[in-house]
Amino acid sequence: MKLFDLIKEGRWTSVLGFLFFIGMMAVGYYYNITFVQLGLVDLGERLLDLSEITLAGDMALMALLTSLIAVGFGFWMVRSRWGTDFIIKLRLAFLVILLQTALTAAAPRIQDQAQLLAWILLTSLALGVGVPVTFSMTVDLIPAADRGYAAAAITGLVYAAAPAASGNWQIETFTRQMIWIMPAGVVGLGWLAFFPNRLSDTWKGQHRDPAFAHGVYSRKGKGRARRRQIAGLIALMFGIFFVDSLGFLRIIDTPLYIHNNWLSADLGPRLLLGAVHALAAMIAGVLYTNLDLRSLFLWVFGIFALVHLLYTMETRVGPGLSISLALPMLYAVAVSLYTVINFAIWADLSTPRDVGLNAALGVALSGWTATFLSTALSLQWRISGMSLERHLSLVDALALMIFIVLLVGPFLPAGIHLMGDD
Amino acid sequence: MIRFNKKVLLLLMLLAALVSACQPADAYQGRVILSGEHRIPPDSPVPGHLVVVDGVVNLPAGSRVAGSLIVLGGEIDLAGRLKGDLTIFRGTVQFRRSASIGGDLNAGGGHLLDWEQAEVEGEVTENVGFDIPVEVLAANRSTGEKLLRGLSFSLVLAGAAFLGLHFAPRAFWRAGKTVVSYPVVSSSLGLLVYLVGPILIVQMIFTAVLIPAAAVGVFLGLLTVGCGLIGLGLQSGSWISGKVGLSMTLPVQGAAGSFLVSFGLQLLNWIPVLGGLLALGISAAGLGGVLLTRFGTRTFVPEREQLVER
Repeated sequence: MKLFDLIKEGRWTSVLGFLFFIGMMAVGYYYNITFVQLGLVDLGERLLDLSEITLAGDMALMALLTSLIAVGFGFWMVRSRWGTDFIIKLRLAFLVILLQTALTAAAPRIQDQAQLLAWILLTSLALGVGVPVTFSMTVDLIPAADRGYAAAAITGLVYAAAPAASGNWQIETFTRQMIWIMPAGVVGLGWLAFFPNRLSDTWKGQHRDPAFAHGVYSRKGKGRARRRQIAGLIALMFGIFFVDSLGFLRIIDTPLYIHNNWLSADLGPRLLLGAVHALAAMIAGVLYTNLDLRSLFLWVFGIFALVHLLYTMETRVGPGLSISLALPMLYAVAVSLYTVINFAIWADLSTPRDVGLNAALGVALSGWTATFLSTALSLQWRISGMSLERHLSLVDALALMIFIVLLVGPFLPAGIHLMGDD
Repeated sequence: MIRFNKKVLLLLMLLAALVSACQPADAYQGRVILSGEHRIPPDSPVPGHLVVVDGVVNLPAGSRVAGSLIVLGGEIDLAGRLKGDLTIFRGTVQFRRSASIGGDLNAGGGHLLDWEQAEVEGEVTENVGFDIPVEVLAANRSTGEKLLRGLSFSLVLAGAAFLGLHFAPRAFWRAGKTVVSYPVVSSSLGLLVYLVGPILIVQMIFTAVLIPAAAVGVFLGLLTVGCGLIGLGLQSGSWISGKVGLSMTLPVQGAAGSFLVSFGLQLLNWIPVLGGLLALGISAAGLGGVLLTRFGTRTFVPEREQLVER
C-alpha cells in the first residue's frame, strides 16, 4: 500500500492529505445518504404533509437538477482546466460546504412547498458543484494504488456510523448530527483554501506525481473503444443504483422488514449491521485493488439478485430471515461492495484534467438519474396497486438479468468487455 | 481428461435460471416460525406447511394448517386441524381434545403430550430413530476428547492430502502459493463467501424442496475449504522440509503440512474469541486461494499487476 510507503518516507503532509480526503468524503457521503435522502422524505411526509406524488416529484426534480448541474460543471472544469488547480477546487469546496451548512440549519424551518422547492434548488446547486469538485481531489490526495482502500475507508466509516447513529430517520435528528460538524469543516476548508499553509502547498503539486495522477484504467484503450468501455461502466453503475433504489424503497415501506434491524430500537442490531457494512467495505477495498471489475460486478448483482429473491420468498412463506438480521446483512454486503467501486472507479478512469467530468458523468448519470427513475417507477407501481411480492420479483429479475449478461458477455460474438478484461 | 466447456456450462446455468423463473407462483407455500409466540387464528389458516424451529405456537380449536406440521423445536399447543402429517424431531406438542391430524403422526423425538385424545387418520409411528443429536453436538467435551477429535480430523485431512497430491499436485500448489503470496486478497474473498454462503444455504433448507441442493452446497463448500487447507499444508510442509533439510516427496510434504495446519487451527480455536477469529481467517484464506486460482487451474495475478504488464 502506497500509504505505508509515504509513512516510511516521512511524507506526513501527503499522509494528512490522504486522511483529509477520507474524512471529507465520509462526512459528505453521510450527509447525502442521511440528511438529503432520508431526511428530505421525512420533511416532506411528516412536517409538510405532502402527498406521495408531490414528494416524489420534488425528489425527482432534485435528482434531475443535480445531474444537470454536475455534468455542466464537469464540462466547465475540463474547459477551464480547474481539474488541475487544487486551490480553486478547495475554494469551491469551501463555498459548497458553507452553502450546505446554511441549508442544513434552514431545513427544519421549511414550512411550505414553495420554500421546499427553493431549498431543493440551492441543494442541487451545492451537490451538483460539490461532487465533481470533491471527487476530482482524488488525483491530488490519494495515490492511484490506494484508491480502493481509500474508498473502503470512506464507505466503512459512513455505513458503520449511519445505522448506529440513526435510530430514527427524522430530519431534526440528522440536522442535529450535521450542524456541529459542518461549521468545523467550513473553518478547516477556509483556512486551507484562503490562507498560505504548508499542507495546501504540498497537495497542489501532487497531481503531477505519476503515482497520484494516472488512474489504473486511464491509459486503457483508445478513442471509441475507450468511450464504449466508460459508457459500459456508467451503464453498469446505473443498473446497480437502479436495482438497489427500486428494491430498497419498497422494503423500507414495509415496517415488518425494517423495525427489527435498520430501525431497531435496540442499538445491538444496528451496530451489527454497521459492523457488517464496515467488514464488507474492507473486503471490497482489497478485492477492487486485486480483482478485475467483472468479478466485482458479478458479486454485486449476484448478491442483489439473491437478497431480493429471498425477500420474495419471505412474502410467500412468512417472515423469517427478513425480520432477523440475515437479509439486511446480505443487503449491507452488496451496498458496501458497490459503494467502494463508486468511490474509486471514476478517478481510476481519469487524468487530472478530466476527473471532474468523469466523476460528474458517473455519479450524475448512474447515481442520481437511477434514483430519479426508480423513485418515479416505484411510486407508479404502488399507485397501480402492485403487490410487494411482484415489486421485489421484478427487481430480482432485473438484477438476475444483468448478472447473466455479465457472465455470458465475454463469450458473445460482439463481446461485452469491461476495463481490464483480456 | 475432461475438457471444461465454459459455453456449455453457461448455457446450462442460463437454462436453469429460466426454468426456475417459470415456477408457478404457488409452487411452494408455507410458513416457518423461528422464535417468539404465535397464535394461528381460526379465520387465518396456514396455506401450506408449517415448520416450527423454536418458539411457542398456539393452534386453537378451529385453526387449520393446509399442509403438514414439522416440529424441529419449541412448544406447540395443538387443538386445531392439520390436513397433512405431524412430524416431530424435537420440542413438545401438547394435544387437546379437538386436535385432528389428516395424515400420519411421526414421532422421531421430542415429547407428545396427551396425543391419545387427538384424532389421527393416518398411521402413528413412534421412535423411528431420527432424533437429531443436537445435545451431543453442543455438549462440553473434555480436553482429551477434543484432542482426539482434532487428531482424527487432521489425520483424515492428511490422508486426503496424500491422495490428492498424487493426482493434482500443481493445482494444490497454485492454491497454496496464492494464499501465501496474497494472504489479504485470499482471506477477503474467503470471508465474502463466508458472509454470503450460510444465508443462502439456510434459506435453501427452509424451502424443504431445496434441502438436497443445500446439502450439495455444504459438501462443496467444505470440500473447497479442505482443498484450501491442503494447499496451505503443502506450502507449510515444503517450507519445513526445506528448513529442516529433509528430502520428502510432494505428497508426504503435503500430508505432513496438512496435518500440522489442521491440528494447529483446532488448537487455535481453543483460544477464546481471538483464536476462533484467526482460525476463521486462515480457513477463509484457504477458501479464497482455491477460488482465486479457480480450483488450482490457473495462477492468480492481481489485476493491477496484469495491467502494468500489458
